[in-house]
Amino acid sequence: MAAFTVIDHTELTGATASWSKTSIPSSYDHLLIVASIRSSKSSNYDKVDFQMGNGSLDTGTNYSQTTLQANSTTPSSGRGTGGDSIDFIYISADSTTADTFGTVKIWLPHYANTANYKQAICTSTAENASTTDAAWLLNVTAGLWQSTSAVDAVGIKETGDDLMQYSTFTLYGVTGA
Amino acid sequence: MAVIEAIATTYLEADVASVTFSAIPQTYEHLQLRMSGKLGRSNHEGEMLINGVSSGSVYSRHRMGGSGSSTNAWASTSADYIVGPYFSGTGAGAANYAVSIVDILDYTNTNKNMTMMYMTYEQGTPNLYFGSALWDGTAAVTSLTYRITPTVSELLTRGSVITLYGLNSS
Repeated sequence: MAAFTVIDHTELTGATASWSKTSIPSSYDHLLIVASIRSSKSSNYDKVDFQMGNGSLDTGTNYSQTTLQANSTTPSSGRGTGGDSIDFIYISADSTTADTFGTVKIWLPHYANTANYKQAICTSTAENASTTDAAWLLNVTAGLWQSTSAVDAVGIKETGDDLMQYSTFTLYGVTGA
Repeated sequence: MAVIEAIATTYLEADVASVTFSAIPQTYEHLQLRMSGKLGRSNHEGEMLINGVSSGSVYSRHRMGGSGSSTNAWASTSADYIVGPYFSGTGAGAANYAVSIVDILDYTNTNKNMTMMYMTYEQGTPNLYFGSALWDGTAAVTSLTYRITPTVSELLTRGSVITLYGLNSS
C-alpha cells in the first residue's frame, strides 16, 4: 500500500473565507496538510486559524499552542492557551510582493487515536521582498487539541478577510508499515 | 501512480561546482528536495538558482536559526541567488554533512511567484536553520541549481547527495 494518499486537493477559484475537509477516513496513521495561501488582508502577513474535530470542526476553547518565530533579526517565542483554534500560522497577505503566497505544512501524527490529545506540528512562512521588520515572518508552532476524539475533520480559515484565489490545500493520508 | 515520486538523485562521486536538475516534469503539484551536503570552503553558503536565473536582483531570503544557546535571524532582498538551504563548511569537520528538506509548492502555477520553505541542520557547527526564499517570477519552475559561488575555486564536496521528489495532488 502506498505510504501517501491524496485525500483532498483544492485550489480556490475565487476569494473565500475557509477551506475544510470532513469525513476523513480513520485508516491512515498520520495526516499532512500542505498549503500555499495568500490573505486578502491589507497587511504584510496574516494569521490563519487551524481547527480540527470529530463530525465537525471544534470551535470551542480547546486549543493551545507554543511558537517560535522571527519577523526581525531577533527571534521570539510565545504561548497561547484556551483558544478556539491554532492560529500561530502565518501567510503572506495583500500588501506583500504581488503574486506571493505563504507556505504552510501541518503534520497531525496519530490523528485517529482515541487515547491521547491531538498534537499538530505547523511550519509556515510569509515571504515578501522586504527586509523591514514585521514585513515578513517565519514560524514554527506546536499545537494541541484537547480532545481524545479521533480527528475526522480539519479546516483552515481567515477571520475578517479571505483566502485569495489560487490558494491551494492538499491533504495527504500517511500510512505506516 | 505513487503520490510521491523520486524525479532524480545526484550523488557526487567527485567534487563539482554545481548540481542542476533540469527539464523538471511539469506534472506534479509540489516539489521537495532532500539534501546532504558539504562545501570545500569554510563558508557554509551554497547558492540556489531557479531556472538558471542569476541576475536581476530577483531573489529574497529570510532565515531564523539557533546555534547552541543563541538565536539569530536574517533578511535579504534584491539578490541574484538564494542562500539557504545550507551545506556544511569545512569547519564542521570532515564527516559532518548538513541535511536539509526543501518544499516548493505549486511550482507550475504561473499565477504565483516561486517560494520555498526549508529546514537545515548543520552538524559539527552546529546550526539549525528554518527559512524561506522568494523568486519574484511567476514562470513555472523547470530547473533547480545548487552551486558554490562561482567567485571561489572551491567545490561542492564528494559524497554530497541531493534528491528531487515530485508530489502529486490526485
